[in-house]
Parts: sequence; C-alpha cells; structure tokens
Amino acid sequence: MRLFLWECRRVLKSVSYWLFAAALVLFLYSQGALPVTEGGDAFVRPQPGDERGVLVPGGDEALIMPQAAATLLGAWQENRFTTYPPPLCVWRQVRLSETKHAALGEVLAALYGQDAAALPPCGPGAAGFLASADGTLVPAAGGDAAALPALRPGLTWEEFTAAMGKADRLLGGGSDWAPAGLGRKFGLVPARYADLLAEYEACMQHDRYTGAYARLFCDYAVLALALFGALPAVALFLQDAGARRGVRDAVWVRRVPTAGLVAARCAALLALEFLPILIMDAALTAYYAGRYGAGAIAPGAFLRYSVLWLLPTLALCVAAGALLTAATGTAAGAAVLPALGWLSIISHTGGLSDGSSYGSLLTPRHNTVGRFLVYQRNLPRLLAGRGAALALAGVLTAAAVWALRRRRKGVPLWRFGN
Amino acid sequence: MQGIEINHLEHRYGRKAALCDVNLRIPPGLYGLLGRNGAGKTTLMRILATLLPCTGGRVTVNGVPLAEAARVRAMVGYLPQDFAAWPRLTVRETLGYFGTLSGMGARDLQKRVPAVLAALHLQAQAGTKVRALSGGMLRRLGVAQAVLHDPPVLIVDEPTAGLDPEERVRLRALLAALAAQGRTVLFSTHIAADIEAVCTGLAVLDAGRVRYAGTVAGLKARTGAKTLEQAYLACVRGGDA
Ligand SMILES: Nc1ncnc2c1ncn2[C@@H]1O[C@H](COP(=O)(O)OP(=O)(O)OP(=O)(O)O)[C@@H](O)[C@H]1O
Ligand SMILES: [Mg+2]
Repeated sequence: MRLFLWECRRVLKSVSYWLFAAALVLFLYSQGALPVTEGGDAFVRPQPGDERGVLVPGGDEALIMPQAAATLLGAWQENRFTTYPPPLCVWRQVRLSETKHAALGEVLAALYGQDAAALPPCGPGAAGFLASADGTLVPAAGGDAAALPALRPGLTWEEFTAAMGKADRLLGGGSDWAPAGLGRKFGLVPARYADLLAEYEACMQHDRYTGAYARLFCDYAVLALALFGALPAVALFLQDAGARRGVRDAVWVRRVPTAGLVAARCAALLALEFLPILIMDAALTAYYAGRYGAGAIAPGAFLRYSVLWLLPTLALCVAAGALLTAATGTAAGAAVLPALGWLSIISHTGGLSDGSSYGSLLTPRHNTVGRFLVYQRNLPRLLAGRGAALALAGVLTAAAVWALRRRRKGVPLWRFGN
Repeated sequence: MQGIEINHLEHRYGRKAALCDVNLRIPPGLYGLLGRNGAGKTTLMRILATLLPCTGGRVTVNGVPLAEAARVRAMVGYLPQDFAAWPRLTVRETLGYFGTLSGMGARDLQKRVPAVLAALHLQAQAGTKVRALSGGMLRRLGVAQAVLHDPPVLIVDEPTAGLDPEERVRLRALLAALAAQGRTVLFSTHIAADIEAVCTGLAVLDAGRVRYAGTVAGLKARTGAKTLEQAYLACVRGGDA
C-alpha cells in the first residue's frame, strides 16, 4: 500500500501524466463532449410522420442481394469504385486493371447468370438509384427491387456473400460490398413509427438523459484512452527499466518482489489515469442535473458507464505500456501503442452507431445520443469484449512481471542459438 | 555462516570471459577490492548483488546461495559504480522511495532517513532536488541509499570516487564503523591508500582472476613494498612479466 502511494507520487510528478490528462480533456472538449449540448432529439417524443425519410437497416436478404449486386454492377460498368482500404481506411477511388476488371465481370456473370457486359446500365439515373454525395450509388428509399436487374434464380445467400467477398478482395478491401457490412449499406427500409416510439420510450425509461449522454462520452473518451493511455505507463516504467544502469541497479537490488512492484505501479497508473474521467463524470452529472433537474436524471450513469466501458481499455493500455517498457527498456511503447490505438479506431469506420464495434478490445463505439435499444441488444457483445480486454490486461501484466524478473537478474529475455 | 564465499566463479559476456575461477572468502569486516580498469570488480559486485546471473561456480552470501535472489536482496545494500537517481525528486524523497522498495515502514523511515543523512553529511541537502546535487553529493546519496535499510552485507563500488579529501576520510570512517559492528563490507576503489587506511583484508583482481587475496600486511610483506600502492603495482606488474 505504501509502495502504491509512492508510485502515485511519482506518476503525479511525471510530465507525461499531465500531458495525458490535458490531451484527454482537450480531446473531449474539441469533440464537443464536455458537455454534449446537441443531440436532444433522442429526448423528444417522436410524432407520427417523423419516421418519413428515415431509413434503417431491414436485414431482408431478398432486398440486400439485388441492391448490392446492382450497385456493384453500376460501378463495374464505369470501372470506378469507392473504397476505404485497410489499414488506414481513408477514402480511395479504385480503377481496376483489365484482368481484374474481367475477373470482377466473371463474378457478376455468376451472380446474374448471364454475361455481365449484356446487362442493362445501372449508372446514375438508372431506375431505382440515387447518387449519394460521395459519388457512390445508393438504392432509392424503399428499395424498388423490381426495377433492378434480376439475379440468377436460386442464388443462395451463402453463394452471394462468397461472391461479394471475392469482389471486395479484388477491390483491395474496405468496399461497400465487404460481406460484413452488407446489411448496413443495403436493404434499408423506412423506419416505422412504432420503432421510433419504442426507442424513445426505452431511452426515457432507462437512460434518463445521463445514460444516453454517458454512452456518447465513453464513445469519445475511449478514443483518447486508446491513443494516449499507455504513455504515462511507458514513462513510469522507463524511470528505471529504461534508465541508466546506475538507477536500475539501485532499484532492482532491493527486496521488493517484482510482482509487487509491477502491481503497485499499474494500480497507481490505473487510479490516476481514471481520476480525470471521474472528475469529468462528476462535473457532467452535475451539469445535466442542472439542465434537466436532479430528479429527472440517473445520477450514477456516468460512473457506471465509465467503469464498464473505459476501465478495461485503460487497463489494457497500462498493461501493454508496462510490458513493452519492462521488456525492452525503451520508449518503443510510446510509438507502438498509440499506433495500435489508431488502427483500432480506423478499423471501425462504418456503422459506429449500430453496435457493430461493441466487441472491440480497445475502442468500442456508440457514437450517438440515445439508441438505448441498440445498446441493450448488443450488451452481451460489449461485456464479452470488455471482459476479454480485462483478461488480456491481466495476461500482459503477468508477462511484464516475467520480463522484469528476468531482466532484474541480468538474464536476457530471448536467447538466440546457444 | 557469515560473510561471502565465492568458489570457482566464472562469468562471460558473450564470448568474453570477465571472471575466471574466482575463489574468495570474505569474512565480516571491511574488505577491499583493487584492480585495473576492466579487471572485473564491477562484474563481481553485480553478481553478488544478484544483478547478473551466476553462471558457473558456487557463491553464498551469509550462507544463502545467490540463486535465492529474494533472500540475498533482503540482506544486501549496493552502491552501483555509476549511481544516479531521479532528477525531480528531492534527496529526502529519493531515500523515502528507496526505503519503501526495501520494505521499510513509515516509522522506520522517519528514524533512519535523518540518521543516514547526518552520517553522510547531507542534512543541508535533504530538500534539494537530485538534479541540483554536485557529483560528490550524488555519490554520498548513493552511499546513503545503500546503507539506508541497515543491511548486514554492504557492497559499495568505488564509493570514494569524486569525493573531496574531507568527505573521503569521513566516508572511510563510516564504512569502517559499519564493518566494526559485524557487517560484511566489500569496497572497491582505485585509491590504495583508502584500503590501507581501513581494510584488513583485500583482493587484487586482474583480467578476471584473483592475483592476491589476504591481508594488507601480507601483500606488503610478499612484495617488500612500503605502501600498499607500491605493493599493488608490484603485484599486478609482476603478473604481466
Ligand atoms: N555489459 C557488458 N558487456 C560486455 N562486456 C562487459 C560488460 N560489462 C563489462 N564488460 C567487460 O568485462 C570486463 C570487466 O568489466 P568491469 O566493469 O567488471 O571492470 P571493473 O574492474 O569494474 O573496471 P573499472 O575499474 O573501470 O570500473 C571488462 O573487460 C569489460 O569490458
Ligand atoms: Mg567498475
């Protein structure tokens, strides 16, 4: 316990901790999350007619298949595809080489059961399409499937998704036709009033304002943690594991068990890095209590969501920072771990608000105010992901103890040959 | 069994042999270690402090084999040759942190820290940040952290390097006083006069081998020299011939 307090003191004296805290707060502030003033729609009772113009994923395979195939066909006819290829996932316009274009033509021919070149044009202006802002084709609202070219009779969903996977690979990945995202992009149906109402009522009953805002707060905060959370850990472990031999030896010769040392440090880092979040939780709860009335909000919501959503990510960042620094004695973690955080963030660009990234180890997203039912439906995946993050943090911490124990005895971590 | 026993100790850095068949019996008291740059003094001391693996041979510290690192660490105080500390902590904080790492309680620290600061003549620097210490003061802070938890075995690598004459004499006397209370103090230096003034036993290392182990008087008698410095020079030069 006394060692824990000493480690806290050392954390508080390190520049990187204050940089972390400042980066966290500034990031949230710049995202408009301190506090969220917009997004009050979630708390306005929908009126009949509000559902008009709102499209939601319908999940109907009979609708998804012709729409997805027709947009692929249209892009193929012009040989112009928009993708977000991994790992950077930034916008890219793809033109296929002749061989690849021909290969994609084969895929389309198999879908339609006839030569792709013989199919009617599906470009902008063709029946049943709208051109969206970024130039991709989107099926018109309501999806008039009858207006689209007919697929080969008897085509199964499995065959279809396999063909889409092939097309996505030909395009270099990250396209609208990647099988995992088909249901988000295609087969959209008009929202039903009853669904809007159910969402609103669930939100009012369970979220009581703060729950909805807390999910958005966590959505942003988890990004900042994934980017900056490992830095104080790297800095603290660097103070001996990466320091000159004269510092290292004076620390490592002491009787403190390696496990105790690592545990005290990680606990201190976890507690102090969580502190700014706790302070913001309290401030935001007070703010929303002022806005909606103390009786109307759920006072514990911010704390509950922060512990559930943010603490596992923080634990993972701290453990990874501890391990990389203890094992290498270098600041490599300060470069590697933010890069991993960045990769995790950009690998979930599509569908941030439908729970599809809830299972992420580092950055589960929600990205909207409200949508309690989405949260409720996907809660098991969120819990599984958070549990996995905690378990992985435990494994990494144990590995940090192992690595430090070896280096403390002057034994190299890896021995090549003999 | 008190003291340090070293039997057939070997150490290699990759291909390079740094210690070859070292045999020493270091009894309680103040024991000096002399040798040229690169002779293997620091290597030997780091092995005794469990900071380097003991790859060949058998070594015990107060009867405990080095393999039981946790028990050895609990008995040892160590001053690294290139001791350094965290620039932003004060002298008092540095000792507080080191003491906590050695498992000392708050009460213990409250008693020991002022005592150790006084013994090393650092009271005036208690509140000074480490980055503002002079070289000799930092060296004394290094000795302070080594003796802080009152270990029965003290391994100090060139504690007098960089000290002014007054502080050197004071430090020698401190180490002699600690040894006189029954502790085992292993003390390396390049200043033969320091060893002559306070040590009873000494070892001369050369190129990883023990060239001489015994009393100061014995070495002088063997080489017929008047001072230890001359005896030491005769000893290591004789080995080259
Ligand atoms: N980490 C290391 N890797 C490789 N060789 C090393 C390492 N440390 C020391 N050596 C070599 O081992 C030998 C013994 O070094 P050591 O530091 O023990 O000498 P020393 O007696 O303490 O010297 P000095 O009086 O200069 O402090 C030297 O030849 C040195 O070059
Ligand atoms: Mg040395």
